[in-house]
Amino acid sequence: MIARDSSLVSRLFHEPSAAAGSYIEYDLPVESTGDFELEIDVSTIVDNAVKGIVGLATANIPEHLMLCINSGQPKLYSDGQTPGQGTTNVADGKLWRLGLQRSGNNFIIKVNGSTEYTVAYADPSRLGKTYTIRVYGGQRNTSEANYYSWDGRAANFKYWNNGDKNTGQLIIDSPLDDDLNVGSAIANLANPSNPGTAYNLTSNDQAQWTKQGSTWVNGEDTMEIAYA
Amino acid sequence: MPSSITDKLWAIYPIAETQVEGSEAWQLSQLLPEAVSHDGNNYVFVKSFEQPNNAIYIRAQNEGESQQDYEIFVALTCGTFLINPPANSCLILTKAQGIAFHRHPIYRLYCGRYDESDRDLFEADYNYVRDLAATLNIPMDEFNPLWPTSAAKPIMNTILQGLVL
Repeated sequence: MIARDSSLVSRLFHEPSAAAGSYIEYDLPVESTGDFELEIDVSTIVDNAVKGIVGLATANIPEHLMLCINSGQPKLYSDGQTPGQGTTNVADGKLWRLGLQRSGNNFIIKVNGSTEYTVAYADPSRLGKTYTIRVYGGQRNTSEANYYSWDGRAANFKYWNNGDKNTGQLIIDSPLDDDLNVGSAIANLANPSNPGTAYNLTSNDQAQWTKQGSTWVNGEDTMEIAYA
Repeated sequence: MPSSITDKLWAIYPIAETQVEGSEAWQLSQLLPEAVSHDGNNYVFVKSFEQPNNAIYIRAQNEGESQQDYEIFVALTCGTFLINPPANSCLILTKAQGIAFHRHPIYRLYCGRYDESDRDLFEADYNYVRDLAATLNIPMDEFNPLWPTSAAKPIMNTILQGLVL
């Protein structure tokens, strides 16, 4: 058996769309009472829409957290608890590595492994919940789960619990290269008993890309890798 | 005998159709229970029957037709269907057509899902549609900055109703 490896020279990328309301949801909620960190590689473009890259949802909407791209820049949405926004344009079609780290009552929003900005969460009593994890579409001030889906591609979603990426436990490790011809199951290499499920994504929403240097290529389409 | 289902085309059905047990829309809603509705009236399914009943298809882009003109055509065709779908019918479209429609100012106005922080987008979309309507001899008022974002949907619905043949 050949192990899955993000350094492979050819792989599938999913192509979610806002029009379809595409999203992935992990089958089991994640109890994150303390620090955590997540990261994901994302390629998308600016089109006036808020893009919910990763959403952490509870039954109580004001507790929601959503790493998103707003007007091309990374931002943490949180029902007004985390003002501020990054300055890097990460919606230029390149593949960027976005990250979100909780450290105490602060959140660190990262781009390509470096701190983009840090913000203190205004009401810490809303933190430390058990979250439903969604990729490609989160929630913010709305019960409509699909509202912040977006057009583009993503890969290599990872979630470390009870610490950061150096100290925490890796509980989600999804290459997001699953063949949707086979079904809607999304592999979680860190915990196979908690896979994701793809919603509103079909075999029509995937393409095979080949890595050439620092660029992914699919026919005439190219996707430059922005991180080292 | 019902036709098979394909991943290659999307289908849009009125939500009410999904309540009719055994109907095509009902079958798709069983298969895709998390299908999205952007307007509160219709579901977008990312699959379609191969040979759906009473289907309306969106034509491909004509040779020499600009991308902008084609996207306006797609948006108006979809919009006039969604505002007043013929009985027991569905709209069949490709993913590319669905994305073009979803990104278009006509659709954003039609759905009216602007936050208060989206006022600039609301105004830009309105002015775009107003300029387009002028070419179709449909008069529209100048944008009023006092309008709430909730005014978007009824404005666009009125325009689309005027375009229904």
